[in-house]
Amino acid sequence: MREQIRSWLESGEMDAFLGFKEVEGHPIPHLFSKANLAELEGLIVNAPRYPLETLVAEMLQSQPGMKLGVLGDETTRRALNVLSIWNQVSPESVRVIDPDQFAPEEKGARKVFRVSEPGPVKLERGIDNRLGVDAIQALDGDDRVRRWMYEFQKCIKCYGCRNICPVCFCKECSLEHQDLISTGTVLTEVPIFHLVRAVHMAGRCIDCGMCEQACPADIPLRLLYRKVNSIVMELFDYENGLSSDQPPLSVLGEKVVLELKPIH
Amino acid sequence: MKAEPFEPKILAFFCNWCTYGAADLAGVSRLQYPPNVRPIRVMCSATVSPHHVLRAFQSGADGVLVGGCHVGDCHYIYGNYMTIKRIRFLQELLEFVGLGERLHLEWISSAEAQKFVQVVTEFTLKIKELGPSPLTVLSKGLPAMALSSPPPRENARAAVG
Ligand code: SF4
Ligand code: SF4
Ligand code: FES
Repeated sequence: MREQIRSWLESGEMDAFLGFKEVEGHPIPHLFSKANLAELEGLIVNAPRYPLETLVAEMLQSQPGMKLGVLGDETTRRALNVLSIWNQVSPESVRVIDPDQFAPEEKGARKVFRVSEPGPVKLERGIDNRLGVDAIQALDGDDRVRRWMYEFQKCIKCYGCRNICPVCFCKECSLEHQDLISTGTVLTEVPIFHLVRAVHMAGRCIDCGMCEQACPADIPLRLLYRKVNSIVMELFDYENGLSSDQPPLSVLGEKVVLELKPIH
Repeated sequence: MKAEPFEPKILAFFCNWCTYGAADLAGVSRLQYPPNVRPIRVMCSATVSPHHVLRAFQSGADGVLVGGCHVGDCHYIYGNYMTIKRIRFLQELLEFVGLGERLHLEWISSAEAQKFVQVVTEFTLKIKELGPSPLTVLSKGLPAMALSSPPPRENARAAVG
């Protein structure tokens, strides 16, 4: 894989390649280019998932027309598709290089996010990031509210979930809109904080899991957005990052296919 | 002391060109309906953002009612195409977090005063049956909802309320 990247960089087929390099024992995002080909030896391919997509979007905006390669996987491709639908990147400028395609026998060596087994303290407190959509749907209405409020009120409003998200790019964020959600102090206004974010993920979230990994409060955010994704799939037959049209909640559409829900 | 009967607070967004007109007509026709809705007049049901609905629940609404023109009659042609997508999506999301059934969308033209009365009456009744919004009930004890009182594992129930 390194050889392939080297030859692309040398031939000019690719202006730069975004990957990771080890700096003081940590994988740090690094831009490899023709000027520093020797550095390719230090390319790390098995770094934990990090939103390089955000850097790609920034680079392409400052240098449009640049031909960029980026280390990634299926979710990276999806994220870039979403970003291109939202005019944040031009798809022809970026190519995703998946190490698994070069060394399939090493598949799984890459550090993908795995949800760890909760320890006894977490278990005792009901904190479990392995819960599925079904576990929530098995609860009745009031228990669902309690469950989610229990989760949401742990939030310390660090905005980590938004900051890490590869498909979040707005310059002004609703989560910091004072008239909508009180900003500044904790306690976080719940559930509105998390529901607003959930609404904004409709038609966008590519289920990379980084938000949940970033959340210091172990809030099962991915579970919430997975439900959002499945609603979008059921109502609009839209799959984020795979469908190439504008997401359903951003366009009026040509006809109404949904029915009103009756009161009873 | 006798408990006060529960009178729900229902926030309503009515489109200026249809449902708001129906409300006016119901008024001048002296039709009776429950006084629980607090209407807000909007220029089109499509101006109602999910943010407004979520903010309403956060601020203590027990229910939210949205009234728009019938499909094909929207004064902005396709406005209500968006309304139904948003509201149907939100209904499903609210259902998942346990607030389902408290959001309702109805198409009511300005001539349909009877339908207006019927919808408002039925929806109010339904919210009465559901009781006060769990958010207002829970928020009273919110600071106490600390990690020190975890939900028992087996039923994944948070120890609040
Ligand atoms: S899983 Fe989280 S971080 Fe990843 S796209 Fe969805 S919301 Fe963003
Ligand atoms: S990462 Fe977790 S604690 Fe931080 S703002 Fe998001 S939900 Fe709240
Ligand atoms: S004008 Fe009434 S719904 Fe658009």
